[in-house]
Amino acid sequence: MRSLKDTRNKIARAKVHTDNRANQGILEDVLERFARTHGIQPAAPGPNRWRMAMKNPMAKLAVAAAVIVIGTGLITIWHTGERAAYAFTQTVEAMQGKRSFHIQTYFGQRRKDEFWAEFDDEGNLIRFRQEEDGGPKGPLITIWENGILNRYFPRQNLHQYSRLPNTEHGIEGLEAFDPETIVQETHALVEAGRAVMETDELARYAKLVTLRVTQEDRELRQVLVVDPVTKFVVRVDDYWGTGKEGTIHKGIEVLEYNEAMDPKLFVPDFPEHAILMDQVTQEVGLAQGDMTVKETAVEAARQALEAWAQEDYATAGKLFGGMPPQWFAARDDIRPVRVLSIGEAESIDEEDRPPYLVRCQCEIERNGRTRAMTLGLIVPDVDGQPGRWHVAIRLYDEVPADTEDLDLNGADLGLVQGQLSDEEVATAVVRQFWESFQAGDYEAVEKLVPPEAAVRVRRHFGVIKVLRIASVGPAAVMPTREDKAMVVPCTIEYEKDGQGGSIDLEALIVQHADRWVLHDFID
Amino acid sequence: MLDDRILLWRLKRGSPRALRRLYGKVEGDLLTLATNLLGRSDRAEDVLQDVFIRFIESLDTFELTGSLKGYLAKCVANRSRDLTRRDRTRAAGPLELAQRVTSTQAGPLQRAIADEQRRRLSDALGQLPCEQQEAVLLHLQAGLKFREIADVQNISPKTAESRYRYGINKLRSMLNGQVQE
Repeated sequence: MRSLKDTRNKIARAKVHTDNRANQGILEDVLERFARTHGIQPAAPGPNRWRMAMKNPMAKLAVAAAVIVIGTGLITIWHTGERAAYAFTQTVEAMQGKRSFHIQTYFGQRRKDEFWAEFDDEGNLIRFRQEEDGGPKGPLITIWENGILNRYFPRQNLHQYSRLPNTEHGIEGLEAFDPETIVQETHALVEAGRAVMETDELARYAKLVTLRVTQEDRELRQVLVVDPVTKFVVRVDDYWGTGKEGTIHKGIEVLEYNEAMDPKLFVPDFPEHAILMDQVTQEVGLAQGDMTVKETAVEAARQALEAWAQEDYATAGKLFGGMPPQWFAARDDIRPVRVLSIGEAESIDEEDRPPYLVRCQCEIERNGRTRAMTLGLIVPDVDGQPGRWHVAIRLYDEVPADTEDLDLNGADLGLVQGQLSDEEVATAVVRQFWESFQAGDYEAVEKLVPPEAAVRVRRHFGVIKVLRIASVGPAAVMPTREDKAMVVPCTIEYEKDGQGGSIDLEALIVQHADRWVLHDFID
Repeated sequence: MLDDRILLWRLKRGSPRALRRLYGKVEGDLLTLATNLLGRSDRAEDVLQDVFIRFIESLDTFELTGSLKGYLAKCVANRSRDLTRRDRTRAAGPLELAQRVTSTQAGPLQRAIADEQRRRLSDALGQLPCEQQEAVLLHLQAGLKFREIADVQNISPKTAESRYRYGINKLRSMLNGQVQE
């Protein structure tokens, strides 16, 4: 006899899928309409149609001729003297149909990420490598090919080995660095009259052509450097803002475009002694079966902690997403000796959806003393293993065993608005947060954030030394939020493990009664 | 972490990446909902496209009061109902659904069993009165609260809950083979 719960689960899990072409078609149409609405060039539709035309030799000739005619009429950067007129459309044309790119990104003058990516004839991603200079989490090397993702976190010496199919949408985030897309977007903006492109007076004497694009409504200035021989863009620098805090700068340098790449780049060459989080050669996590996701989250947390407490690292390792015994050995100081309680599955945002957080009370032993500890386990689904869920430590906080729960009523958190405008107080919260961090005054830092965020803040930012608060603000209203909230961009220069770096963040500042609190950092 | 508010904020600033992200996040559930409501996957794709285009065209004035997925699910339900009223036919439903539901089972035998179970589920859904079917699907597949379903159907939340309860009980009975309506 089928139960009501079983019927509900059956309906909730019955999924319909469309074929990828239809799905991609819908997305492209929507993106195209979106681009028209916002006056930008959609990333997907243009290249697809262009590539279809370019596969046919006759069409290729016709398209090339049309580009030259249109290009001279629309966006032409004239150079007097011996050199022929250069048209930006030549660059747009030259950079169509990418097969590979190798780029270096910059923030300010600092090196950030380096990418190598290869594509097939249709522009689908075949494989990529990314080396991130790293923020608070430290450097990260990511290699993806054939649906397998290898990520290496040198600071943790952790190698995550998992499955990640390339959906029809592509590996997320990569398109933001795609030189082909950047060139197309700039071209579309200029063509639509939403940006002005000009070249330096002395450009004709230079080996490289510098194009300056000003987009007034977005306060964006873009500088593109083009090789007039290959017509490729070799460098793109974006500058935002003109406020007293100065401009924000992001840049990419195109080191190689459509060049053959060394296959070794895409071979994981991580240290042999790295901690291997294996989600490919074994089933990990807990199977959902007939349980709801929330029930699964609670059960996975319970089983994981009990196995850890019993030092059953084979079981615990699978439940912790494929962690080997050496990972647990490094965390022996927080190994539960007894599980006191397993909480309910909580939403981690305003929507009731996975992944859920399960707060558990455990006892640990340290220096012969028993202490109580709250362990927050986040329970995401396992990549590439449908219906299975694993746990990961989201937060932990030791509390003395004899302490009651903190009374948060009347907590003196955040900044009082007083006579300040919303923008001023939001900016002040962020500035004070980082100034306190810089001064090492963590008590003051934690007074600016909600109590549940204090541990996260310590974990994320406690490992860095703030060298300089490069910029804070201007604050922008987040109009879609029911309660009042502002978004404040900030750029921080820091030092970690003897190396410098910078990070740009957006802080979400929320009003609670007459106070403003730093709720979270976006991304 | 990008939640709906931040996603919307970026959409309003013209980020195609945010749009891709939103689409990737909701298309599966919305397509399932539309296919189940309409009984035809080709029409469901039209509805999904139409809903997204209307959504991006109204972005300037759009204010989020619940979740983005909830809002878009309501739009899918409304648009599907308009189409159903216009066509006055739902004949293609059950078979189409049974053919297009994903299978995660490994072997051919398990897949055949699963397909048969899905066909029965689809048949049963198709036999529910439209209002009850909509309430069940909006609640279970789109995750809408009864208050939100009440907005879609222009009824009270209590009535929305009643429709859901009647619908789910009938489904259970039909799937257990006790009632053949």
